[in-house]
Amino acid sequence: MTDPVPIYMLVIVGAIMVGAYRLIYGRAARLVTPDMSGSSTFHAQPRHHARLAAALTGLTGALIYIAGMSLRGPAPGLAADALWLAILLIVCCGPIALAIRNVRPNFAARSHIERMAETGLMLLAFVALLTTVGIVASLLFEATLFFRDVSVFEFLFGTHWSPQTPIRAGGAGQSGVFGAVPVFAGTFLITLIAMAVAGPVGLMVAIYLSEYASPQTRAIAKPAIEVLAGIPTVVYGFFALISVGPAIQEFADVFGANVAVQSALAAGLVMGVMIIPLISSLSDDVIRAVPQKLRDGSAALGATQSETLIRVVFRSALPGIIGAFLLAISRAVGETMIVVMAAGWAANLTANPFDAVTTVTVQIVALLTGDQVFDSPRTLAAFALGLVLFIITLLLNFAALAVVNRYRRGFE
Amino acid sequence: MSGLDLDFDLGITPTAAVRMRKRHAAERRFRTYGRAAVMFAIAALVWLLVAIIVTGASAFTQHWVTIDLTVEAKSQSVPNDRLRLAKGLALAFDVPSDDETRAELLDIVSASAATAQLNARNGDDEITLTIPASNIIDQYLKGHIDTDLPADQRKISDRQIQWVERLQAEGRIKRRFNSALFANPDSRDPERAGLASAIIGSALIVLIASALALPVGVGAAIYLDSFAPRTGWGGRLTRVLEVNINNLAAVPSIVFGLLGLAVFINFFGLQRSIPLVGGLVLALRMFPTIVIASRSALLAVPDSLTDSALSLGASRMQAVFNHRVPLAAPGILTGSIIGMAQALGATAPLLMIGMVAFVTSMPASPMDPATALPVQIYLWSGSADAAWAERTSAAIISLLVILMLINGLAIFLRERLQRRRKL
Amino acid sequence: MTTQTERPPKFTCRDVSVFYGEFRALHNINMDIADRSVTALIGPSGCGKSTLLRVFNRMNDTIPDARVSGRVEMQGANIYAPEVDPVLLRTRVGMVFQKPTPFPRSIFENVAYGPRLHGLTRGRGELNALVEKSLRRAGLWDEVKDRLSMPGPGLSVGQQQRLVLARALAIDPDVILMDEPASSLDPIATARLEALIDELKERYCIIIVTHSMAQAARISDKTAFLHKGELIEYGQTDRIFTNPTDTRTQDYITGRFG
Repeated sequence: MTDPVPIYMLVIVGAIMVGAYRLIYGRAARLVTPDMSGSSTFHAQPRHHARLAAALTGLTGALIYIAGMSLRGPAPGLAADALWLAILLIVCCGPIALAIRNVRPNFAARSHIERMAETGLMLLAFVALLTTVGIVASLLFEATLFFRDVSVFEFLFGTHWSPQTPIRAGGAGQSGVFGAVPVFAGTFLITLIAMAVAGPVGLMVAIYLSEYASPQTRAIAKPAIEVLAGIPTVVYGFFALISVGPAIQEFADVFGANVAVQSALAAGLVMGVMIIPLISSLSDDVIRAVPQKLRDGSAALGATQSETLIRVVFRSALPGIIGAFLLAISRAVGETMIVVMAAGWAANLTANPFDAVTTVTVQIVALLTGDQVFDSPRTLAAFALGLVLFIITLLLNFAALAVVNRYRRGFE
Repeated sequence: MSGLDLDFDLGITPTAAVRMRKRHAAERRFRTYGRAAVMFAIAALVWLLVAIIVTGASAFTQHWVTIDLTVEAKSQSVPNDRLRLAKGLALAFDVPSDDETRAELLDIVSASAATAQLNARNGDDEITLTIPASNIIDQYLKGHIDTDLPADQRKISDRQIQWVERLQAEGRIKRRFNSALFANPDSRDPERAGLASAIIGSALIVLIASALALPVGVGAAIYLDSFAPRTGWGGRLTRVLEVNINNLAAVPSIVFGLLGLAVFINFFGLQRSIPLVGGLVLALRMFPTIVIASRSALLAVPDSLTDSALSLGASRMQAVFNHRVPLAAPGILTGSIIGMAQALGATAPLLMIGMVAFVTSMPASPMDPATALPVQIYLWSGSADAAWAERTSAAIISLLVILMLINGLAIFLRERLQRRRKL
Repeated sequence: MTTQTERPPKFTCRDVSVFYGEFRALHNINMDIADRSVTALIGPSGCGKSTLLRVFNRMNDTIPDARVSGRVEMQGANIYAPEVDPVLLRTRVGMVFQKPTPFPRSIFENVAYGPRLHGLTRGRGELNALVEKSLRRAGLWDEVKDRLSMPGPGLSVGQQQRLVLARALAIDPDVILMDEPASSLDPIATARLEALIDELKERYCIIIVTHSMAQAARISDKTAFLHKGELIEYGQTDRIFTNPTDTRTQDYITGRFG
């Protein structure tokens, strides 16, 4: 530990809070006469007074702490630290004095502390808003810087992606080309392959396990699917690299084709397997939600189980299943590690699944794990790609929500 | 009327019977598709686990070599330990000490481990070295090297094979548990590389992320569940927050890494590649998941309970914290543990904040450069060498075991807490 | 009324018992169901009348733990014989449930579902005619003939119940099973449904489960009283309601329990 002072100061703030709590609690407890003849004359219990005192003191102390830390400067000296400590101790006497004065019968300490707590909880919920704002702001900010050097049109529609840009200090133009169409195409191809695997398989797994499977089968299959869901993506990526890729190579070799270990097919297949549990569990929820009476009605008309499933259940559940598919696509588009390890980094514009392709996520990694000079078009390009990624997954998420909501309304 | 011909008694025509057969065949086909889908998923899982275990099992052992050496003192002509080692080996194996032979000799043991031991002894000496075998020899002895290739394409030469066989015949080679894998930090030599730094880094990151995300996430969930207004402008704000959280849960994890890079590193000036930043980024990533899991746990608690408490004169805060939250606690706990497990496996955001550095020392605090277990797996996977491949798989096995323990803990705690509730 | 002596019984039950796992829902039921008539099954809740109803179209088969023992014959043929296809059986024995659940499709599609499934018509013209015929038989045609493409669930509950009846009639069964068909309906819709049943019994064998004794007395020719899975009493409706032989029947009818 290079600089222990921040930690010590934090501990001191904590100690002051505990001290305030103790002090006020003791005072309030002494002043409350246990009145057996009915309601006590105090509006609040000692612990409420104490908590309020601790909260106020803590807030004051935290503010001083933050102020002190920000103003500390690069070379903190002992004198400056001592000064801040003195300020802390002195200023914190204020809330404590206030609290002592407020230990009286008609002071509704409980309402105050509870309102503070409620506000505190609300602020916690606002972290979500803060995070979203942070994401949008940082992506937009950096992407805007990028689009000063590279036009939006060239970025979105250019077909040549080759960002090896040596940094030229103060250079007016950069020699990298940032046409992202091959990158988008790679994402599209791999997502397509993944959904082609995960869609039918996930759906049939959900149907079979909920409608046909024996309890024994379900006892094995359900945990297996959950295990698939819990495997980290870096493990899937390695699996694609050492097993699936070479297997595809050998398979292609049988037909005399020469295929590299890294291909869109390898990444797509493994990504498909990773997505199966997502589609399976979402579809399962939707299928179970279809009322049993609908199935009975169909069965009573002489339909076989598969006919009921396809003609009645599937048709009723279709919007929900589409929503599930959209969410799965969103997941596939945003996936990083499998593609980084299994699909390669070459920006090919191709429809051949045996080729190596690159995706938006891979390029973000590639651009940011090379030479680390911030603000070069390379790193900024990563943020532009990140912005595109964020917008697309957001749209897919909204679409999924809209489809599912319309479906729920249709049922009522 | 006697029931001899059921189809006709039931009034079914022959054409309808044919159609019926087709429909039943379609039903059978449908069931087969379902069964095939389930088997495909299970087969994929089995293939993955088998591939990883088969590749990685051998990494848990390492071959060690014991050699008696006579080394010269350090001098002008023998200035460094590597040369002393090489010459000593040449003497031990009774071979000429030319450049090519010396290179091959140095390649049969872990040169860095040996020279570390030699460093202390500067004079002429007879010493016995017990050091790990080199990664080539280790892989050869584990049978991972293709010896059928012609000599120039092979990784191990004929002479090296001879020497190894001689050492084996003399009983100087032992196969031990590869404790270096868990005790050492990363290293350039596979035989000395370990996961210690990565495990400590991951532990710090997950701890920091959980310490931040759990209180904030559970608090936010409690607020949205019990205190947030549902009507008017406040209600609209609540809905905005809820939509927000659902969206954040669907944002790809790499975007959180970009956020961390732009805000924590670029704007706040924190250092790259330290567990503190990794923890902050993953805390943001965990936050929506924790909120959603806690909310569904809270939603499962019936309102009648809270209402009873309120009617007895409890304040809203008291009713929520004394009645609603404790009943939702098992679900919240399970959700939190699962969130932690997900954070343990997260890789992409950590790459964004620079954890791809080659870190060879153990982090002593959250402010020291470190790496994380999944990132280490990614870094090791980049090398094509068989020694690295087996270690990558072993690292994966370790990660999966840890995840299994964490998930098992979650399930165990949930059962235990639910049993207590049953009274 | 001695209508049943003119033709043999449609269904014959001999020692029929139904088990859900270990629980025995029906105990050795022996009864004959007459054709072209309405037979009512009454009894307190949980007595097994719905289970008995479902025996006739093998709907109990859809419940995983259910087991049926004994012999159930339809026109002399044992419908529980292994070579009998339950799917085919249900084209002869239709069912209407307590809560009408039309498929979330148009009115036309609802009625056309069965005929399409079994390939009963060739060409659009035949299908249209069949749909119209079924809707007329169910007494719904006049109300919906201009809006056949409107969604089925958009109808009122009474209309929905007639829609699912039309749906069942469209595949031309011999038997219609009704499980408390009027319990979701208001009195006016109930009266319409009962008038319909009165017409339908000229062509179909109707078995109806009802918890309303007044309804059973109004529309059925024969009534069976079940209690705790046993058939307590079975006979002509007038006699059962005016002069029951078993005290339990008497108690139930006079409202002492149930």
